Amino acid sequence: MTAHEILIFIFIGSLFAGFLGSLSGLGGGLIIVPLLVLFLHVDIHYAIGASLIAVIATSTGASAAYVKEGFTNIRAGIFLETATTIGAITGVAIGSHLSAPLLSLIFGIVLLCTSISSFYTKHTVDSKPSHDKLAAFFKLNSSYPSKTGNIPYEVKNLPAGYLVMFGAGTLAGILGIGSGALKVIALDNIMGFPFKVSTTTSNFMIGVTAAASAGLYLHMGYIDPLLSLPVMLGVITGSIIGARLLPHIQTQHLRIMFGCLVMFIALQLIYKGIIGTI
Amino acid sequence: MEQKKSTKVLKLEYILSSTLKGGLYLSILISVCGAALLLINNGYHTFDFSQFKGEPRDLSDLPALMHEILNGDPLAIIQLGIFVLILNPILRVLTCLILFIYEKDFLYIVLASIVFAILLYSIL
Repeated sequence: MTAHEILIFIFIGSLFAGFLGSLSGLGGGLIIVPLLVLFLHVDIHYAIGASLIAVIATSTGASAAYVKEGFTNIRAGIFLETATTIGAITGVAIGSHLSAPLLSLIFGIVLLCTSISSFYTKHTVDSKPSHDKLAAFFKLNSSYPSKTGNIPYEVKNLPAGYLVMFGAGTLAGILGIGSGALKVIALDNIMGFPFKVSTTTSNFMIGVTAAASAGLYLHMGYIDPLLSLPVMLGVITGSIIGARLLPHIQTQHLRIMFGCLVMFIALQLIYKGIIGTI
Repeated sequence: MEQKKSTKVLKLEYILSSTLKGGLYLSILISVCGAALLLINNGYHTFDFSQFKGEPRDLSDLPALMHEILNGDPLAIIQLGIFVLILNPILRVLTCLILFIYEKDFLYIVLASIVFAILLYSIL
């Protein structure tokens, strides 16, 4: 393909990926890599590199908006980022030794699990103060703004949350995704952060984790500029369009439709991984 | 326990937010300039991404990249934009580190320094 064709096709494909990711809430990385690999015939290593760049871009853009609103718990972000960045380096070390079919297989399994779990959403409603000693030591208890003033919250289960964050970072390093869903689970379901704090703090962390992976992959030659640029621009534009459209669409039908589509993509990846034709 | 934010902290957060947005636009600007240069000079050269060969040294190794940029290589310019993009989260962590130094929060000065060091190890 010529440079013109690459920029245009990849941009359009990534536009669709960003749009789909934003509407389904599954995040960019999980959609970008399969789209590039299955439909645009890009080798999975290049796809992982380009996906990480797109993840950093969308995370940076979103964070710029969230920091001002006061929901992000920066201490929680930094504290847990020690886990995710070490995880990211571990992930890169592991992933760079895996073959393309194996990566495709792992990716398909993770995608399948994520799409199935997205049908079940449980948010913590329990907001009783936890008096957790570790949480107090690490100064993670805080408050978030609301119409009635600042609402305080306390968190717990730091070791479990920390471990899951390490896992999320490792997955991000191997697959080139943001692992946002897993991070929100760790923050919200395991540690008990309020939902809006979990999502904004997770977003804050996603960019840092991706940067840790991207830096290493850059030196390993995984990141191609001609591929990464249209992916980055396409995904940002697509997710903005998706976010604008989201309030106007019925979420239930959407969920089911996208869940099925994503499951189909996941199965294709698994199939190709097993056959080894990727 | 409620945390009251001093005006200095709020100001730092505002600077952080603006820096993030500016950094994103800067990286896009640089990359798009590189892409424009590429299309003008070289639009019909073919590229193939279906096989992984790994990027050549002048696109993955920093000193070599700098050299290529000074030569005006369009791909290197796009890569520079990407490099600036990767710097953004690192800058974010640095800003948090400065915030913690200002607040004399020794625990988090250490934690943020660890994250910062890991990121530097990755990018350099």
